[in-house]
Amino acid sequence: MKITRIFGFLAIILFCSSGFSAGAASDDNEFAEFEEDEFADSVVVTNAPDAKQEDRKSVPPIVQKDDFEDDDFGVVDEDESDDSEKIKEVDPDEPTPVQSLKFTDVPAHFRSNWASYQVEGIVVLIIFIYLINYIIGKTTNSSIAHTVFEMCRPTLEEQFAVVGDDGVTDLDKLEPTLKRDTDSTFSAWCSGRVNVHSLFLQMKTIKRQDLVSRVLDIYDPSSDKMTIKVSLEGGNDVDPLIFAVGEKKIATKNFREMFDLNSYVSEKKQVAQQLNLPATWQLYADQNEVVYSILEPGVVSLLRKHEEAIEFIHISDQYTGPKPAEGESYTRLPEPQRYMFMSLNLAKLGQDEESAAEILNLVFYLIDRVKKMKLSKDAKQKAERKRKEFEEAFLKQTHAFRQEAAQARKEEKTRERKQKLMDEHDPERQRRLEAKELKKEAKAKQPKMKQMKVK
Amino acid sequence: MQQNGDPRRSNRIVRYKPLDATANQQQAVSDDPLPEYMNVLGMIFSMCGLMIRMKWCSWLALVCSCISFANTRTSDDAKQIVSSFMLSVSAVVMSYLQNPSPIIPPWVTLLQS
Repeated sequence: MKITRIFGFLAIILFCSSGFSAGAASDDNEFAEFEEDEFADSVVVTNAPDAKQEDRKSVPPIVQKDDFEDDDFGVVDEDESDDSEKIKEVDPDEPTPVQSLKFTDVPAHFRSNWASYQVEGIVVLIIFIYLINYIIGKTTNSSIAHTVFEMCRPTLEEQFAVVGDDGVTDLDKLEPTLKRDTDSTFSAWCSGRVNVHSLFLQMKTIKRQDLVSRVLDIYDPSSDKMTIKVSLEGGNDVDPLIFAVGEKKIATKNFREMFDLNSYVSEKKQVAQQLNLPATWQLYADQNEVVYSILEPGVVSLLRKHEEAIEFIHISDQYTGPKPAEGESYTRLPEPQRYMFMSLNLAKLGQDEESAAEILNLVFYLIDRVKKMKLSKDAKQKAERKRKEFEEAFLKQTHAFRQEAAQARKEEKTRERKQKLMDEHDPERQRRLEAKELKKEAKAKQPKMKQMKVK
Repeated sequence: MQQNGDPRRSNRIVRYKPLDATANQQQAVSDDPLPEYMNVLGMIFSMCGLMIRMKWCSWLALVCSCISFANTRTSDDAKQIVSSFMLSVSAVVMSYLQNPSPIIPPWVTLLQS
């Protein structure tokens, strides 16, 4: 059945196409009567054999003239010559429609014309170079990070029960590995030590995998960095301290940005000179005693030895992160944490295993030192007083903000009530609302007087 | 400065917890907004290439997608990168299907003048 239907369709299509061709044939036959005239004209016209086709198009007007002029035999020759002239005149005119036809420029095929695709070639080359650079940069970053991690791993394994935790794998099956965050950032999470909740080690290399970043790096060079963020175990037996030391630029930047550094500490230039710290470094602390108890001679000598590798050290018991952006402020003081932050230059750190081990051991020494540190009574009281004052000042400020907010809300409510009063059409309701409003205003004024009376 | 005794405490292990997704992503975006910018630029160039039929826009969209891919963070969705790549490739293909002629290099016009 289906086959018969298909055959039926084909038959219809064939019939239609034959009908069109018949129509075309009949079109040809319509011009049959003019073909005789063309033969007659062709005897006269010898110059334009191609004009036959044009004749067919322009035959009707010329034929009409012929019809008129065939009756006048005397005129025929002249007319014929006129015709020939006319035909000759028309001939040069007739090709003009052909000449006015414009052939569109079809572009040559790509295979025969590939040399003209220059811009495309350049872009493809750029993309190719970019991808090659991506592969090379990614491998370089990975190798740098893993090399340094291999140097640090023995020390970390000595200090922590778990090194390189990903939060998912079972602890029994865990291998100390570096986690890849991006193609230029790697991290390792260590935990299970005295005095320490956790140690988060992060390596941020230059974006060697991105060609754009590499080009921008030429104008604003940066270096591979390693940051160590230690969450310290707190407790009431630990004395308060806020301390920061490091390379000038980085130390100043952190002093401006970090909330705790900005709120509590001041620069200790003289103490820095006394302790013989590197000249390019700056020292910040809330109290001198804190500096003296942390920066022992041994620590200072190590800091000087690895001056290029160590960029910044920040130890705090009031760590709350960076300051809020300008225009914003905390409504409530965030919960402070005991925290240690260290920023190291990866290239200098990774020069040899010995220096990497020394620097890491310095970190653990400082962790334990901070825990054991005992300030004098005065210093401790001073520190606690400072914190209390800061907290009170903060509450006062926020109290003022809160009061303003409450006042604004009250005004908004009275405005709404008055607006409701104005919009009320029912006079009875309006009177009632007005009375209510008057009562409220009277009440608002009254209590103050009452309080005074009670007093 | 040597440590005495084993400081390791297996009973005090705190497991690694990836930071809160949205807060971390916002922080990551503020730290390095390049992949987002390149993603948006790539989409704009793809649209220009498809609708206004500018071939160089389509090629630029492809370059922007590559840059965005190279700067991806692991927290980012891979689908977004793949879709921006597909969009830019389709913009290039459609531009050349409509008009296979090559882009006229600027140095040709300069040389002619």
